[in-house]
Amino acid sequence: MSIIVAFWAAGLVVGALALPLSFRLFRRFPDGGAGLAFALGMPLTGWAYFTLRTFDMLPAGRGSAVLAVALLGVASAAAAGRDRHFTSTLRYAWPGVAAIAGVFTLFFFVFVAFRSYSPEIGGTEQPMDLMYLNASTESSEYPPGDPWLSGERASYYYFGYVQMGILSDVAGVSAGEGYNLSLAFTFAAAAAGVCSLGFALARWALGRRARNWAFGAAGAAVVLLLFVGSLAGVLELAAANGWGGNGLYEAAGVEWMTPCESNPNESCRRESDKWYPTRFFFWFDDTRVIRSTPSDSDTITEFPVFSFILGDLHPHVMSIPLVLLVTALAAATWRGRGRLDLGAHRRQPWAGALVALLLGALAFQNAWDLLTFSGLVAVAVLVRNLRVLPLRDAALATASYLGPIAMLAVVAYLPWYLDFNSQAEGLYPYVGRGSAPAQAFLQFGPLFVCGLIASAIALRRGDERGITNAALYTAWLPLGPLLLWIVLAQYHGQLGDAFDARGSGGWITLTAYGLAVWWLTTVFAVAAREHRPVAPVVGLAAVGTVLFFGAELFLIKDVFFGGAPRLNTVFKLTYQAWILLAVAGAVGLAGAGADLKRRRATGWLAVPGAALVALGLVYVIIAVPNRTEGLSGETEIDGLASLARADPSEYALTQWVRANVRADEVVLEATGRRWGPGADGMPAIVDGNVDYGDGGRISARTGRATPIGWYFHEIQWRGDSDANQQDFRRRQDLVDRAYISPDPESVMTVMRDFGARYLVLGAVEQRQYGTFLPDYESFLELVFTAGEYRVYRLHETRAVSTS
Amino acid sequence: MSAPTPEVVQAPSPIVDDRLVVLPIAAFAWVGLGILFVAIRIWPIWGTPVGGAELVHLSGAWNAHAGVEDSRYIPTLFQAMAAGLFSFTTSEVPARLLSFAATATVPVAVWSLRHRLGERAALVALALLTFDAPSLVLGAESGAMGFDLAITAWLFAFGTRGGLLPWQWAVIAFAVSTAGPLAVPLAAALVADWLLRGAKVDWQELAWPAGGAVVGILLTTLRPGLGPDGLTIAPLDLFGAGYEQNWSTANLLTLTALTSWPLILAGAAGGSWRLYRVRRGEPLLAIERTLLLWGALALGWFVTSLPSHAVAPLAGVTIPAVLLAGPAIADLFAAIRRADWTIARYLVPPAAAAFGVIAFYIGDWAKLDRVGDTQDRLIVIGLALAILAVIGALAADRRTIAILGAMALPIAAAPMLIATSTVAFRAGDSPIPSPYSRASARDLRDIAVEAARDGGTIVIHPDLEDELTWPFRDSGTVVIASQVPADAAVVFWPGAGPAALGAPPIGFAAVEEEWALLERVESPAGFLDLARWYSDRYSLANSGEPVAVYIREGE
Repeated sequence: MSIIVAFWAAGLVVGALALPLSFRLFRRFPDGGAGLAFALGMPLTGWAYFTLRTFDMLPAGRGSAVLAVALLGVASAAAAGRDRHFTSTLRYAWPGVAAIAGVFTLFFFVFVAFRSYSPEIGGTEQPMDLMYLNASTESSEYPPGDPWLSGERASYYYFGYVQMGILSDVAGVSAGEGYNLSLAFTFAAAAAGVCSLGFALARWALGRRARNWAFGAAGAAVVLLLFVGSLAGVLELAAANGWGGNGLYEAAGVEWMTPCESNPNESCRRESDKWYPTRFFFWFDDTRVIRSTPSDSDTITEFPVFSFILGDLHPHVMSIPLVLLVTALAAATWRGRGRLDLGAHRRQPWAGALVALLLGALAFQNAWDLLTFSGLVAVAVLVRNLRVLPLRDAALATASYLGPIAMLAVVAYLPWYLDFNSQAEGLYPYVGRGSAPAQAFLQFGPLFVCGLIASAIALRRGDERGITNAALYTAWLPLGPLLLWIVLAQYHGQLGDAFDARGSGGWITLTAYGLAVWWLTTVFAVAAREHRPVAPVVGLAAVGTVLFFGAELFLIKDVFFGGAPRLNTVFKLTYQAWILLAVAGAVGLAGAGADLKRRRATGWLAVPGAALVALGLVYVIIAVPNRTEGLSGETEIDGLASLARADPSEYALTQWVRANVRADEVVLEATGRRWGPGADGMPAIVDGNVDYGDGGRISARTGRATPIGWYFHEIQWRGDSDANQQDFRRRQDLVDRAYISPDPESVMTVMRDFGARYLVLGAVEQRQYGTFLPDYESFLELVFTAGEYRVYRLHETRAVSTS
Repeated sequence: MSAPTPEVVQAPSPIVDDRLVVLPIAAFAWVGLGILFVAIRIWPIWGTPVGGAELVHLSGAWNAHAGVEDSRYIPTLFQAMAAGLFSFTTSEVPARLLSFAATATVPVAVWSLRHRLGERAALVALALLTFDAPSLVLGAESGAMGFDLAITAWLFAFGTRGGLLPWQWAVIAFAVSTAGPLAVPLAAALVADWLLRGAKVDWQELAWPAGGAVVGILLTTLRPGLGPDGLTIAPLDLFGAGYEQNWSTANLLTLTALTSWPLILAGAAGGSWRLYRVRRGEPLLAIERTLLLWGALALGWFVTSLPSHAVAPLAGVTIPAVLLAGPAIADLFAAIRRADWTIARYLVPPAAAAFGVIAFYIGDWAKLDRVGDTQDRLIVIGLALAILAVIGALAADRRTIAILGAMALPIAAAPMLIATSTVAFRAGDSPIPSPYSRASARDLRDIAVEAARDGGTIVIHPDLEDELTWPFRDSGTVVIASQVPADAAVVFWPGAGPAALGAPPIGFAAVEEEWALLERVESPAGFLDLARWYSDRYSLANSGEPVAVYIREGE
């Protein structure tokens, strides 16, 4: 328990230290932006840590994390000292500050309680996440090395791991514990952030007479963002109870979910012996609902509650608080007064620098977020300038304001850019089948509808004329991308195929999204033109819908292009859309609720909206007991505790490596390829797949580098070039040679070539290499033993002067 | 008509013989405490074995002197000087004397604060600091932080004085940038305080301390003795090393329970008392604001270091704690004198007696290593409840609440005095410093040198390399090897673990004795162990990592 409290306290301290900065940025928020302080404090601390470690000004280890947090305190002291309104802000915002501290605490411990039932770090890409978390804390040099490719620096957007590593270090928890507690922190920081943002937007949008509904908006925002899931959950529940026949599931576009009683087939759902579906990881499939064919999912439509139930500590999950912060920054910018141009930097240089650090962090934390959310800030600046300047001058002022920020945002993270190898190869037209309307509705229905409701509450009597005028201009927003798609498809010679491939369902979905974009941007234009406080809410809904629309037309070409071309594009863009629509939809729902109380016509929209939200909650209600086996069993928070129970010797080996092998040393361990006797009795590869397996597991658990970890993930991070393939294969071959070669000199040569002093012989090595393992004891030094497992070290001899 | 001139009444002047020198009692107190502060730190210079952080840093300094790369060498000004002293001696004593000389100025620094903190408050602070075990060790040992106590005390004295000349800030910045981590929280507090005041940045003035710091960092980066190896900022590097390296056997939480917990509680109470009075309308002086910030930052360092094995964060927090506690305790003394003892005089002695009985029982349980039977437990719980009732009765009345302080002071003072006397005079097996280098380790070195005198090499297993640096200093060239080379004359090998040989290598004979290089004073395992240690300072278990010694047999 003490480690949980320590981590919670560390998070709370970072949030508290960031408050003075938050007050400066979010002065107009009712809570002074307290809910966003967690999201603000972490990247600033992370940036200080990353930069100072890169320039060798801070040593490796926990002390640097503590110093980085102390530096945040110093920056906050400076902000407070120069803020004439600090005391008055604190006076009016303190109830909000106290409430946010309560929200953060509640959600942190609720998530810890949930996660403690299934804390294992094992499946999916969790070993990779643990590896990066360890790399961020253990690396002896910065930018951190890639533990799965010794001698190379990490080439990934790993800033989230740096931040969570800092929290783990400050709290003094192990990586296995820090992993799960980082998830809890992210969950709690997201809840606090979306509360703050939802509350502020609702207070502005709903006016004085409905201001109490802002509390409802804050609550709805939390529910929409962190608890609502796919409507497929309803069908999973139905199928598990044998309800409904083929027709229901076919109409919903998920015929593979049909109960086996109705339609026995490979993927049919068997009746559950509990009230919730007990099929292993059933909730995982509900992020693969949008499919080209019933058996072939070509994309991922993950959403936040799924991420938290699964427990992968991925960049897009850790970035939720940050994107909420930047969204709030856009809202605060929009809400502020006075033009923003180069002069603004002269007046308040630190404010511009702060914005640059936050926008720069977007790329470093989850590169996919950069364009969307920095674009949001850019639009906010432009709209604000348009209030006081004509279009041309406003555009110039906006450029002069954002230009230095953009430059600083790159310069501040330059060491990372120098190592980062983006796999994005450009914008391509999507020429596939598209999303079926029913499937799209199952996935995004509650959010989409709530976003549309937000537009309804923005309208006033007499807006018809303004809408008609604006609609002529906003029509290009859906049409422009469509034309671009046609041009790109023609350019690639696929226009005909593209039209053919997209079935009627795909066109219907595209049209629905296109119309929604048109409608929402039109309402936004009308509201923004009249400076209505509800405009940013509609703006967020519009951007969210644009992302849905865009993901139906285009894709970013990456390493998945050959097999599942739009996999990442749909995944990452719809995830962003979910966040934006959760905020906008919450205000929309609260506004509709307020209207319903006042018996306005728009109020009735709250009924279908709330009904869809309620149905969307079915997912989490049935997924949580499935994930936790009905909240039964022992609870613990260390992600490696299950290893300690299942294989104490392997756990002891891991702990020994962590304690005794220097952070800058290389360890040889199994590549993950399994070997067996070939036809001639010589060693031959039986199974060459290494990703998602045990390859590089010691490295992942300790942060010590190994020559090669997950092959295809390295390809994803560094590119699918011939040179990379050859290098990674060479590394695999050499490491495997050290485990199957009977020649001692050959083994030692491999170790020396990689600069590896240690060779691990644990459970995986014994399983993967079996009888081919040489007698290491005859030529290496035995330095650790537990049960059948061993660690060996190269012998050494050197003379040392003592005088 | 003029107004009547008021009659000026002259107060009778005291008859003072101007040949007499008038010395106030406070002067005697200052001199007395100063002497005590210095005297209590003399014995450890010769009496304390080299251990803990000192062993780590002296090993690093020795290797730097020998030109051997060693991550334990983090060249603060003090450690660089210690490495330099090894050109003249192999003893740790000259370096300890250097540290002692610097620490001996601390009473003067505290004395210089008397006008700003209050005379009595400063005296109480010095008295508390005198008996603070962690700072006692730090101020008399020759680890890398040998100057830290003095630099921190003087930084507070000068940093809060105001009106310093720019070049003086340069000297201060140089001192801090070449010191260890103790001054880091205070330096951060001074900067934060300056920023909180919203002071305008005068770049010209800022250039002086910046220049001083740059010179200091340049010096540490040059790493006297070894040459540069990347940027080295000694205070930050040592701050970080305190979290990572093993500078003591017990972790910080245990060390606090064994030594300085009363000071930390007193400091926290003093800080809270000050904030309470500010909330009630009293102005917060600049020095107090700095002190509170320092205390908060040091407490942060201390709390985050609780699992680590280092004593430095404890000393780091006790210094601001005594300065915060000093004024509060001085106020408390006055309040105790003003308190209404009418009823308390009948309550306090029985409560003290009850406490004594409880202490007796716990001491008895600690000796037996088990909690007593139900009857004993009921007696202890009953007496504890009675004491709580007395505390409640006294706390309920503003006129008697200060008497609680009178009850708390002796209870807090007793464990501090026990801990300090143990550490200062090495009564029993002190947990500070531990692990320490055994005297017999130097005997091993003599055996090795003797064995290699007629040819052959001294061979040391890599796992023992760090432990042997200090006892094997000045032994010529040794070979670090994981296999016994053919020309080995004497071999030092781990006595246990996977690397242990089990039997002597062919041609070698074991030197039969239970050899160990380091002596570890183990941590108390629980509350009863802790209680036992307070009544019997020999009660903590000792252990040493066994070492096997093999000498080549004659032909």
